Amino acid sequence: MPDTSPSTMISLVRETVLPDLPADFGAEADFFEAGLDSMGVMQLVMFLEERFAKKVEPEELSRANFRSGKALATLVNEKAA
Amino acid sequence: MNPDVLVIGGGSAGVAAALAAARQGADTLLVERHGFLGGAGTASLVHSFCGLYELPATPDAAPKVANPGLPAELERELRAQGIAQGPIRMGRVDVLLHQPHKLALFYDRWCAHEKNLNVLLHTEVASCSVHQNRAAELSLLCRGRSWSVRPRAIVDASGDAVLAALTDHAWESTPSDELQRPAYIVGISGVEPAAFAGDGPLKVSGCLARAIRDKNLPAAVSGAHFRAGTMSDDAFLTLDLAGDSPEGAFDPNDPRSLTWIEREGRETVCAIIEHLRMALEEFVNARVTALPARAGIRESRRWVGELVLTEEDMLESRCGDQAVANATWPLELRETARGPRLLYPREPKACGIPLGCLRARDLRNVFIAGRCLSATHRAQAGIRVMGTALATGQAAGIAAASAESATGALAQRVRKVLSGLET
Repeated sequence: MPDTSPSTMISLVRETVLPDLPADFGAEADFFEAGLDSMGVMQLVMFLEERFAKKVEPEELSRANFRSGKALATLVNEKAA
Repeated sequence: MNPDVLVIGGGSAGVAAALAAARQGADTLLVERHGFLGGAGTASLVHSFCGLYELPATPDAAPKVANPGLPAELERELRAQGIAQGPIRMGRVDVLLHQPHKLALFYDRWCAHEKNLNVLLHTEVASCSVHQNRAAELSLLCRGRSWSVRPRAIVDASGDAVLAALTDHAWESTPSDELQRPAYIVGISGVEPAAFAGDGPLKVSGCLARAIRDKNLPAAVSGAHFRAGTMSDDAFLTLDLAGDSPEGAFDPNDPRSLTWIEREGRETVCAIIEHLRMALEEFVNARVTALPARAGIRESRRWVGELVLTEEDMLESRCGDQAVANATWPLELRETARGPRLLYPREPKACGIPLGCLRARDLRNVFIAGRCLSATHRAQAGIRVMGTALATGQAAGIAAASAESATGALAQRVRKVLSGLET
């Protein structure tokens, strides 16, 4: 079972789209305020689908679900459940 | 036809250089290879002015134009004439959104007003002789017809440092795998506004991600993003491209590479629109309404000037005695086609670009403006934007129109002229 904690999600976002995310970026801090845009979300979706072997459905594509490490962890965990 | 000042390239930098030189009383000739002025802001459909405003000192600080004179005049007029909307805060910066075809008209009229300025479209420089550390005679070319001019001073605002290449002057380029990637931008119409509001852009992104995964669209689509235009039904699709072809790595000065980028850009954006028309109801009536005259190149050759602007100059907001143009845009790295990486100065302050970065190291009568000025690869990522290009163009134009002198004294003269201009 892969690690789907908020801190892992933040690391994944840093790895794929926001390399300059600070080390102390919190679980509820806002990725969009830190520079995440729609192009970044596209890359993140492709990356998450590959990493967790789950499809992100169109209705799950919302700012709320991609806002923070905590939100992303919830999204991925719900999909895994 | 021997002008006092010849300006090569009619983009943001070249237009500003030509206007500034002409307003100083110099008989000025501006040559542009396309059929209209504006450079990236028209020919490549770059639809916003970046670097036009100061970096906001606080989140609620009111936007202020970063440079006096022509940038301030352009900002005021574009807004007053309804050509541009804004300024609009995007994250930590302010931008002005404009309509590319109206910008072309604006530049025509702006230049036509200036009695000392002649503009020749469809004209480029074919060769240049050098005599005693000066660019001497240049051959201009239009549709197979060529003629010579002997200007007193030259501003290279070509974006590609063409005069450095033609004279074998020192220039630098970045290894292909680190170059800023090119962008292919098209105008589109017929998209429902909901696609660009709220969660709309994320739904579009998700739809494209799925199409890439299912191999219905090529991987190059991952560099795509949309932005609503200034008119209700207008939008732009920007595709960042890796630029590497099966035949070779990205090279912004190689016609084979440029040809591949144009074709790849057109194929990919048209495939995106066709796919979205089928997949999303907001795009049922979407269509491509404007192709660029050329793909947007962010970086190619850079001149080696008397001074070389560095990343630290930008991040430390250095501003010395020779400063003649304020650079306020973060270093916007686009070394991949997967979105920007922005590096901001440590304090929200402008870097003052010194005149030595706008002056060729070994040719006394050659000045430089726009994205090919003398800067490192990293610093160029901050100064290449159109708002800053207007400012470097203006400074280079004033300098070129002045009787030649030592760079320090010339910088003081440019600064004196700038201090008397509209803010």
